[in-house]
Amino acid sequence: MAAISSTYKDPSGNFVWWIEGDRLAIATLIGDANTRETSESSYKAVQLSTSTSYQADGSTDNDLGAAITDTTATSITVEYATGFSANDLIKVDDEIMKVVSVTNSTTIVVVRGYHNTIAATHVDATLIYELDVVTDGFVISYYGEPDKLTAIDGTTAIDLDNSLQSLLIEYVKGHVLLDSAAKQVDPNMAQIKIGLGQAFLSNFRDGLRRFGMKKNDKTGGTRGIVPPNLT
Amino acid sequence: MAAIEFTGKEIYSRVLQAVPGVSQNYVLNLINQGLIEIGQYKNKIEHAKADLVHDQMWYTLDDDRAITINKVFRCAIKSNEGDYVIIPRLTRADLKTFDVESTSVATTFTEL
Repeated sequence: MAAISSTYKDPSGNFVWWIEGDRLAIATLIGDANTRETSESSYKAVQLSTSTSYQADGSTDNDLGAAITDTTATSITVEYATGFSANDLIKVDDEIMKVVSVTNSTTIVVVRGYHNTIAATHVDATLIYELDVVTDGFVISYYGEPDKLTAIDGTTAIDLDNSLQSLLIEYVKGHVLLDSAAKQVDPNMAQIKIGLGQAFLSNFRDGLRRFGMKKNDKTGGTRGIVPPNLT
Repeated sequence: MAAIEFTGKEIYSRVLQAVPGVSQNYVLNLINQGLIEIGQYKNKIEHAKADLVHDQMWYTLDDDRAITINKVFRCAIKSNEGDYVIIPRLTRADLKTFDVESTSVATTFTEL
């Protein structure tokens, strides 16, 4: 597996991240990533050391031992399978595959079309390239959203903190009452339902404010604007 | 089980007490509408991991994927020893330093 170069032993000292629109950037201040250097400063894409673990027989290349003739086959034949291990990412033509397991010395099981590439057919003896990847190389923490409820049954719990579940009931009751008021023929009954509905929704809003601040949307500000060249 | 942990059915039964005869599907839609509204507040912290790719600076955070990422506030990367080390966030003042050459790659995040 590829690894972060020993130069970057303590990532906190050299790496930075930021959000730009709907993209997350991870960059480093040192290294020699000439191809991905930012235009206005010296932030660079992360460079990983490469592995030569595929050349199990000492040769320089590893390639397909047989053509891949369909786009769904997950068991593929290679020249030397022993150099692979689970979670390796490999690239055959433009398709990226994830190694699931090694069956024997010439067969591996893969996930096709990984990283949103398109599964395709490949001819015999196509070269296999290692994709330099640190599997699960970074972790992000974020303010998430509750999962959608797909059915009303007695087993699926609402994906909410306990303290917020009663507020959800207030929200639903409030809206049901307001909608129901709109259908009332009797204006007095409608007025009662409107009052109750508004009270429930007011409780909902007040309760929600007690539990947390409203999130900002994803912002970046400079998305798509090229820094001016002042030289 | 926590003292308060409602299922959809329990919420539905409570709503029926206030307004008898409402349909399940109608209440289901209202529950999901309420969840969206509650989701706009900072009340749930989640974590997800992804692969760190050689020479790739940008990782796309699409909201229409399995993991919705509204507000990332922390990032950690794996060191050679296999530990996750928190890395600092670049402040807004430095955002002129973005890459005009590379394109982002749709990234598969796995929720932890």
